[in-house]
Amino acid sequence: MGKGHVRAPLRGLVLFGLGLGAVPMLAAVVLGVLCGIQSLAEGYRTPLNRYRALVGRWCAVDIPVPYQPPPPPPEPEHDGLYRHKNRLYETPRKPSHERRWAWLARDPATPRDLLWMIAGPLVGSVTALLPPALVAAGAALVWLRPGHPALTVPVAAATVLAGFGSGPSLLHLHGRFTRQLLAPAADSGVRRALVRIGRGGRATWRLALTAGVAFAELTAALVHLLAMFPLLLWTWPTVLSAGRQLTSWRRRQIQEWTGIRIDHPYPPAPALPPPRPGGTYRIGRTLHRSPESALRSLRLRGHVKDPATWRDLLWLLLDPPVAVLLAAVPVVLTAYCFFGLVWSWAWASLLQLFVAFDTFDRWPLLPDDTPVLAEHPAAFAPLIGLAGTLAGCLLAPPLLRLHGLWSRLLLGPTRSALLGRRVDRLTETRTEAQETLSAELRRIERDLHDGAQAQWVAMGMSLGAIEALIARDPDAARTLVRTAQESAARALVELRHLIRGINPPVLAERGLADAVRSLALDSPLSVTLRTDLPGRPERPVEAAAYFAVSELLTNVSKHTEAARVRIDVTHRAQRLRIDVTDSGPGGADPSRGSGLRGVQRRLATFDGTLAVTSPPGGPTTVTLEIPCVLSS
Amino acid sequence: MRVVLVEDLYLLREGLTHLLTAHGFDVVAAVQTGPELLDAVHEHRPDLAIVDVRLPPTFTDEGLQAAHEARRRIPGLPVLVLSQHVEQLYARELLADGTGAIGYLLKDRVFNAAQFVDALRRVAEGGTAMDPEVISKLVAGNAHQEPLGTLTAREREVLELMAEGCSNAAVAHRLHLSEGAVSKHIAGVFGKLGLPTSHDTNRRVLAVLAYLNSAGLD
Repeated sequence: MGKGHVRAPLRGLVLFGLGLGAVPMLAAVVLGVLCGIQSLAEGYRTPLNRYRALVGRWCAVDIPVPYQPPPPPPEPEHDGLYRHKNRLYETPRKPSHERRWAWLARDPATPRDLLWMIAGPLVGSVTALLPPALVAAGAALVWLRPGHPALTVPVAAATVLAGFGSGPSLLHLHGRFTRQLLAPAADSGVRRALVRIGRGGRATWRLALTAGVAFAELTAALVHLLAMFPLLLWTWPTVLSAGRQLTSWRRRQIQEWTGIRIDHPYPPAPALPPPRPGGTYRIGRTLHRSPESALRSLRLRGHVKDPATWRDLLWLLLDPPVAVLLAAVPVVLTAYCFFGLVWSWAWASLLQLFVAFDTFDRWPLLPDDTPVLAEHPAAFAPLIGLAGTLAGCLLAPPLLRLHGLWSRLLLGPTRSALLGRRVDRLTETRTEAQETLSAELRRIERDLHDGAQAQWVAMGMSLGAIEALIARDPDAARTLVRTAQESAARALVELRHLIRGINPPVLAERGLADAVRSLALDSPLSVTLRTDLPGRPERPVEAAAYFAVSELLTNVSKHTEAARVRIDVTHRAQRLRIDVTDSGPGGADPSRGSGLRGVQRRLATFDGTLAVTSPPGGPTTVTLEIPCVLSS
Repeated sequence: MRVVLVEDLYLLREGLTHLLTAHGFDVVAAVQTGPELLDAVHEHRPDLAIVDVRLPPTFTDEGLQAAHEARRRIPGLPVLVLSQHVEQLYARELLADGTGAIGYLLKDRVFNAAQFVDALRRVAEGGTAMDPEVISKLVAGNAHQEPLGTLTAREREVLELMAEGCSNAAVAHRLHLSEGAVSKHIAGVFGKLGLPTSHDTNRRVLAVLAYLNSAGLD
């Protein structure tokens, strides 16, 4: 028997005592959340980390700290105010407070900690307390001697020995239990299954909500139809905009719940025409005195002509039966099986211990046709309940998705709406492209005018002076020759810079991959580059991508202290994709910095996109995607 | 010294030919395209080939490709690449075989005829001539890394001139230092970079270039 065996019961006793600390911890968290005191709700983490370390050491298990790094303190905006969501604050206190709450609430370790606080004292303490309990029982037997000494002493000795002997392995068991809850969540089959069932439960709940909201939709549809009566027609715009709010909310919700994206089908609001000479506005054949009434009339006409209005109405009318039909099976199955068979069985069994009447039979006040537990075979009721719940939970997600697909059919934009939007977008990007182009030409003209052109004028003047001096004063002429040469050299340098900004030589000579490699070599950062391009994109796309990467690299070296950057250039599924990842601290705000907006504008001409992901703690990844084909 | 020249612009071709002839070079062929260069090199076996990067018909990096090809066919053929712009990427490719007898200069360098001719002779004799602009980029790209960051400002100047291909005497002349002081600085640089010292200028230059070329590449 080693030192470990002797120490184990004592350590078990200490761990049991410390484990009871979970109760005040839980109380502090609950109190902190209820009263909004952040330090109180978060304060348990320090002692719990100590407990983690102690259990790790004594029970020979490794319990890493699972918490995500805390959010960085808020940085002031350019106007010196601090932003949280869509509000500005004068001091960083409130935004920092909100961030820390969000950090605490979103950390997946927090619910696991809470579960440990509830389950730890009940489950974990058994393994911790058993060794000292055995030792104490053995000692008590020796002390009390209830029976014959010849029997008592060996039994007592055996109990004590069992206490010491089982100590280390029970402690290890305790450690493993603690690790299960307090270490970062590990991926396992059981966990995945539980997550899946949990998702099913959530989907069931959402289906029930969908069916519930469907009644509000039905009401909205009826009010809508009512508002179309001639006498009530003046209420129609109000009803319509309320209805659009409802459908927009449902679109967002369906996307959030099922991931099925339903774009807005509505065209942009119409603009008021210029007033006629008399100061009136002509909408159709009607003249309006005030711009407000003209705008109202214009909108109404737009709504009537807009197919989205009628498709929305159709959906509001049809969704209630569809939603109820889709939701019925899983919701009723899960609700009855879980609450009727599992939940009530558990309570009935518990109450049976304390009350006189048969809790499995019909309760007083319940209607006669309610199915009761006693009608099921007693032992099977919870099993049937669990199986039914499981089936309901597995059935719910595909049905929820089906509801999303059905809604997209009517709530999504029509083909012509999509085309109209595309035309608007093209007009917009074309204007921007023209503006960018002409700005670029102006810049080139200015650079040539102030740079190379001026140098050449200087050179010409020097040559004139040389001609005059060459016979009279050869020494002065020689100095001027040197000046002229310097002017020529400077003009060349300036032209080179200019050309680099118009059409970078390596890009023209070798294509995107080598041009980006050249950028990487010239950058002060340590850049790792991976390119996988089987051919060359069209030249304008190539140039846009090149200047985008150049801008991003400049951004990284200017704005973050990141020293390492990784660039991946790939072409998959007709899209050129470039990821620029830096090792900086993250938390970059994509709305800040005009550089990124400029890149976005340039890419928009090619239907390209720019996405920034920058979680606190890094890394920041900027992803460019441009649809294009490669030529060899 | 016999020279083959490839340059597609008539003015520059004639200008270079005049300049070279004036400094005692013998221009045995002045051609316009990559394949012509390969033929001329094969036929004349010159002491030096001067190559422009952009050539017809595609006006991309045909000259550079032709230079690589010529050196593949005739190992150790001294080649000087001339261009309107210098790129680290191309410099690294030219230096990759580590054998020397290579040069990469901006066309502007022709303005200083004495230094240009000196560079030509150096390349023809198996040395190197790298443009100061490309060398400063190579050094700057590595400046954040450990051993290069520890060099003093003077040692860096010496390193850059050495990497351009200058001998001790040329470095001393450009920095207005004594040759002894230059040797001391060179010893310091080699010590800090952990390179073996050598009395042969070419070998020393190649060691420095190989060092710069290998660093900063991931």
